[in-house]
Amino acid sequence: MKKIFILIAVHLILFSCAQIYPLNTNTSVPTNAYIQDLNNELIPYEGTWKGSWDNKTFFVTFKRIKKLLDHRENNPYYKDVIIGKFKVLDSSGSILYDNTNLADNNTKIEGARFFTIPNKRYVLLYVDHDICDISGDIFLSFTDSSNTTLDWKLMDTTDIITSSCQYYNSNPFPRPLPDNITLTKQ
Amino acid sequence: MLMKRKFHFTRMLLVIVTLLSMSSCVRDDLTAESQSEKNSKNMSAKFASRSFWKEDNIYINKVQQVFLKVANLEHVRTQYGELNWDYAMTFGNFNETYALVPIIKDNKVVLLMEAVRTGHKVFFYEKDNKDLIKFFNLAMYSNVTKYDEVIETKGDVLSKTPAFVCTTRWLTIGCFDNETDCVPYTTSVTNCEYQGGSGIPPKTFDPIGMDGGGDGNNGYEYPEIPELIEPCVKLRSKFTTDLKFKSKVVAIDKDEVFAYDHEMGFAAAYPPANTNITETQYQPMENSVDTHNVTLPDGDQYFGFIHSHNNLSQGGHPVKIFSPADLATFLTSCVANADAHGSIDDAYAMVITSGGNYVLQFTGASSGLGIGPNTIKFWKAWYGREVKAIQNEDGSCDQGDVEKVFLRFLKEKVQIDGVELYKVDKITGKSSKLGLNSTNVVVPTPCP
Repeated sequence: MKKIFILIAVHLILFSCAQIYPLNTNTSVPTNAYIQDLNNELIPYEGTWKGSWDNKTFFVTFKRIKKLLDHRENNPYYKDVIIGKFKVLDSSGSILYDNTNLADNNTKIEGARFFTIPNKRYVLLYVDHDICDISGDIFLSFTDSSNTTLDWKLMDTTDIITSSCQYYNSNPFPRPLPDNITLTKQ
Repeated sequence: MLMKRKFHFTRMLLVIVTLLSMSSCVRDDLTAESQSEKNSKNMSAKFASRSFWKEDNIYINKVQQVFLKVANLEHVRTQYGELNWDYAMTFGNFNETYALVPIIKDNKVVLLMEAVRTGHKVFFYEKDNKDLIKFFNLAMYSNVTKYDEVIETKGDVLSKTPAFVCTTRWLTIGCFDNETDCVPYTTSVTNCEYQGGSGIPPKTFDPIGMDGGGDGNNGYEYPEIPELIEPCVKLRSKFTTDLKFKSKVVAIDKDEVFAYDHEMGFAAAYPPANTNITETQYQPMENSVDTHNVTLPDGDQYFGFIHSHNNLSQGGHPVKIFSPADLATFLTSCVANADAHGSIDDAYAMVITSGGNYVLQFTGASSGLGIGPNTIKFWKAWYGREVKAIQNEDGSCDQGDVEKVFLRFLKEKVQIDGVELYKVDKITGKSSKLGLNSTNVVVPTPCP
């Protein structure tokens, strides 16, 4: 009787565990599955990075979190992603943009996946609800073997702006993130 | 003289009697023929409605053509009986979607064939409903003295297509002359057809006689889909009658434009009020200063826009179909402006890319679509994550996957009825409506 009870308990534990998939999984996964960074590929991106751009200083802090992705109705799942929070200062040190206080599950920058051709790049999605939902894809790739410098490229995916945006007539249009920059680990 | 008149009168009387007698014979023949046709009309005979009610005769006629094209009539006769198209009933549906056709064996209705159209396919099912079969028997073989119906349509607020059509039909049955102890009575039947619904599929009617019902499970090709005609005509007329529209498309659809580091576009506006101008006005879509994005000009006269998506940007691959922001602009600006200042179905958006040219059109009835301040943020989250999943290892996408993910975006996330995606062939200019089947495979339906 005791053995049967243990057997049932073991089965229940096994079945209650979410299924785990490697980080390069880009297909659909079962509800509550976990796409995990099994090889710690995201760890080198963690930390605060700094770069200069257009007389501005750019700080971005990357952190790996296990995030619930619930955009698919009835098919939520977990994934290890890099999230990013940034701060931009002008030449006099005044703060232009700062979202370092946002909660980890509500950041403007959220990692998506790796591309491997022609070089290994981690791509992150950027959506800025404070600036008319402007958006972009950020590509990160290390430029040295010690992983202390990062190449940052931003592809703007905002696409179209209408007069309902409060910055419609702004000249220049607000652009918190650099297009192309080299970041140094702090 | 009197004799002559009398002679004439007698002759005339003879002619009248003969004519009346002949007329009576003809009517008897007609009656006999009519009864015979009722009972044993060949299912391939040309359809001519004999229903007491108004039916969707266009649909019945087209369904008969589809049926005759695929059916093995000997198999149908042996397996089911003879279909009588003349008594087919569409029960209040007039959008070429639904019909019940009685099947006759030994001078009585034994089964009904249900013909249901979904998109460009028509499906045949067995309808073995005792009440309906009894009703068809009465309609065809009784002394009907009175009939009536009530059609109840429960419309979908966002779509022109009703979601439910329930029809109740009444028959009053009188007595034949030779019947004794007969009391006239009234009977009714209600039939509901859910437009576009899903559930347990009914038993397939097999007109071919092959294992598994031939193509029955996948449906049969239906000609000239009615809901496609209007948007397709609108789309075709842009290319054939609006020379400015065509010139704008030609100006954008170039390799050099796809290679720019910014998008390019034109917005379509209604002619200014109180002027003699009647043509659509086109304004360039300026780029936001220092960005590669385009802007929709300010004003509520803009009901459409045409713009490019580039090939590459910062080493990344832009998605070669509409973005969530394009869709939002189409719905919140173009559809709203068209609804306010023209006709809601004037609204359109076009994206021109090296992977294909696409047009959005709207067939919904209302521009109140509930797009709130947070909608775009959530749309972008869904789209960004799902597009990343279909990208190849170099960041590029297969265009078939791009079409599928955008259609899934419309179906799973946006969920606004009436948003329709068309693909326009760059060479022939022909358009197809793109949709997803039940297993999310992209199905193009060519415009008629």
